[in-house]
Amino acid sequence: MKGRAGLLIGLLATAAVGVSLLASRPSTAQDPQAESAMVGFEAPVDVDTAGLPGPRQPIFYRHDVHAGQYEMDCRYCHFAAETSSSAGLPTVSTCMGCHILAGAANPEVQKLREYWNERRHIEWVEVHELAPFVRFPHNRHVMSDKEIECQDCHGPIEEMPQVYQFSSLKMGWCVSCHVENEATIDCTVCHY
Amino acid sequence: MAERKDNETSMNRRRFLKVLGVTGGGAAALSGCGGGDPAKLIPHLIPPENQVPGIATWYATTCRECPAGCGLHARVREGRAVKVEGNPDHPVNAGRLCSRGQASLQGLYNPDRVQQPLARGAGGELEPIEWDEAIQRIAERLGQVSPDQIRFVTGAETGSFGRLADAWLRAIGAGPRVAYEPFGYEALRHANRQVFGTDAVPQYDFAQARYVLSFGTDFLETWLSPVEQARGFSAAHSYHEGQMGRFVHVEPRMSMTAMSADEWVAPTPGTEALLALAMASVIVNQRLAIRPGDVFRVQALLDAHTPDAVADRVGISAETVERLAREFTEQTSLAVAGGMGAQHEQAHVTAAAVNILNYVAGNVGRTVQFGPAGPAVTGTYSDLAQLTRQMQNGAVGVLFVHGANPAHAAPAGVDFGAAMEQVGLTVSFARFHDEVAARADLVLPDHDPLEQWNDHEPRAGVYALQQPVMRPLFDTRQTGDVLLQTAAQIGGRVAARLPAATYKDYLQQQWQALQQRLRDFRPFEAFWTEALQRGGVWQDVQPRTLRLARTAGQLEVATGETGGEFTLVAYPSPALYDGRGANRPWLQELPDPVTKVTWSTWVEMNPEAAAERGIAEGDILEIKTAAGTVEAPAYLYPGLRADVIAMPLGQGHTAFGRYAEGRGVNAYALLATDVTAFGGVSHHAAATVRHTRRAR
Repeated sequence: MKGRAGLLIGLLATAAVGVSLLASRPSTAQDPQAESAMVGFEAPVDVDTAGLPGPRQPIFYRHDVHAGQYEMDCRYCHFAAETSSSAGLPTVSTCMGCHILAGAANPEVQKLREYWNERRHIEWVEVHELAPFVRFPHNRHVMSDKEIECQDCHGPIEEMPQVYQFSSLKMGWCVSCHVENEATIDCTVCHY
Repeated sequence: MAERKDNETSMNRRRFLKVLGVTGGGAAALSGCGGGDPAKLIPHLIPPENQVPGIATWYATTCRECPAGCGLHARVREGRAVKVEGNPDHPVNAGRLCSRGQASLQGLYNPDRVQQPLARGAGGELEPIEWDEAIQRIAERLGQVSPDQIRFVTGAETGSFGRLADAWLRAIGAGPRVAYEPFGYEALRHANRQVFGTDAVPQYDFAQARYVLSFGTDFLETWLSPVEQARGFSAAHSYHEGQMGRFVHVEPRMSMTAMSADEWVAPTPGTEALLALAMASVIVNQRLAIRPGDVFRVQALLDAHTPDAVADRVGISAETVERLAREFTEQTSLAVAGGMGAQHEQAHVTAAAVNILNYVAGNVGRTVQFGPAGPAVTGTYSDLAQLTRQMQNGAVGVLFVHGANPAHAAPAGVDFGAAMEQVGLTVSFARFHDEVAARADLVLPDHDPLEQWNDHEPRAGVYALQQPVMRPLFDTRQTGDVLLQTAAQIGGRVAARLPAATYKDYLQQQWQALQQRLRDFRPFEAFWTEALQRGGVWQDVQPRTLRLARTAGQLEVATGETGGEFTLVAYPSPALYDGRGANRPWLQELPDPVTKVTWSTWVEMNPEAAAERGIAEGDILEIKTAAGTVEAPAYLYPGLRADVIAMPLGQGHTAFGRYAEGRGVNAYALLATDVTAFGGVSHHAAATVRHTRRAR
């Protein structure tokens, strides 16, 4: 069994189960009294986004609650990671799938519902910005036989209340991993 | 509790920002990166069907850049069409696509598209108007004028839209639609009527013909279906079964098609018909092919045009004619007439003589395939000339123009634009601010072909579908919907005769009827979905067996010589066609395959003829014909007879957006407005040349 249960790409805990569990739990993420039925990590109560690393987002969406505490599979929201170069962002309807019931009292969830009710798009701030002359296909990495975890590049995302850039994303960092894993270091594999 | 915490958060934030104001250095930390605004990632509200970000979706649709109707696959990324390619399953183009098809994206994203409905205001300027108001205005006006004063001009519409427009006109009691194509193959259709008794344009099977004889036909550039013909030609002409195919070309100017020929035959211009008849007489009299039973209908004609009898006038020896006739019957062959080399006054005679040649060589039904008889889908130039006269006389009360630009692509003397001033209400459905839209009272922009539901029947047995590959970019509306909504606005009997709420409904009704005709008994949904995925439905059509018509032998052979210092030949540009491609920068930038000139108009002249007159390349020449005068730079080209000058059509727009307007000259200004015997435009004219100034 790999560490960091639930976050691992290899694990196929069906997200739908998570959803039904969530829907039946009226507790909010930031409620300190919320008892976790899950094992392992429990997200801390954290309301001061200004003190957290990473850019401030329009909604204080917490990866540590969803991915850490509730052990949701990354691919429930980042649905295209295995099939596309882009990992995919959850549509607002995906969020509302749970939050039409879950977390009604949470002010951040209320913000989400406002977006949904007003049919407005959420403008998330990009955290991992690659240079425009380089391509990173998520699917080629996620599906490779080297068993690359999301955390290998994105860091301990299941413990991040607010996401920040963990790796440098500079070329040396890419190349050293390619060398270690005996992947090609041909220029055109990324620069095309 | 949560409420209180939120207050606390904002308090903290406010405090933090105060601190930030004085330290300054925090700015970079807040934005998270070095310079500029951080990029935004904006997901959809609701996931679109069949779409994964980063993965392209491909939709099958149909190219509408010319009447050939090639199949397209449009590559769509995140809801935007980014590339079109040929549909490999399509019987017309089999995965290939020409430059004009590739440039269809620049029609879609053209900055000079009409972005909303416009109406001519009191000051004479076009001003935005609401769709409902525009439709109401049309409906009111239609009620005020007598039905015979309502006219509708379209381009070649072979599918449901043409049928809807016809049904709509019938419902309001108006006269027939004028389907105007600048290259409407009037001569060919006239000749087919005379020789075979049918109006249809056949399919020419270049893929079977190992021997091609072309009478000035630019079948690799613009004529009929260039992608399909180029594909067939390259297959049949290439080396197999131990030999190359052979291609003999007859034309006064060496076009790109002519450059691919193995042999050049240069008869006196306008005498192509004599050459074809002489070849046919050799084939019949020497029994080179199985003699058809009804050859007696043309026997007298052929006897009068033996090689010996015509050799002097054609300027080709009788031996050469006999050799050509023998070669023509030794293998599967095909003769074609049309295109720019045969657009002169007697083009219909040339086409008729070539029909007889094909017939006696046994090619009709083999390489010349007439599909099942159907109604003519394209009108003639004479229809347009007649309509313009009616407009000038004030006999037209409401005029609709869709998919045609007769204010540019018709002999300038017709002056369709000025005649529009005499019409009570002119409605243009143009997608771009073209010459018609510039004078119209209402401009109601249609969707781009890549944004609309439609269908097209390029030839018998090919039913090609068009589907929207992306949402409309602007506040445009499909013209079929505008017609249906106008009918609904009029109400009563008119609305009852058009039982469809939207054009898509109408299209599906048409396809339900088609499914029944094709004897497909699946649920309609299955038939429709499969057709959408494949790009349409196609079936093999048994070619019609045709016999010579009674009129076949009554050919009055006259020659099409123009006289004059030069014969001007105006030919369709391989990139811009009749001018509809001129607002695509890719096509403007595309070097002409013969002259390599871009973004301009030129006059081709034989170097020897130029030397006699002291003309150097780039010198500005004034070209004068009975119809008009234009100025253009000279391009010296040895692939042209010394008594011929040639100019491409397509430029010289007075409107049509930033890339087309005011660029080059319109060679249509030089062509006579007279309707020829076959109902078309003569693209040859007697011209004089004046050397106005040196190249700078």
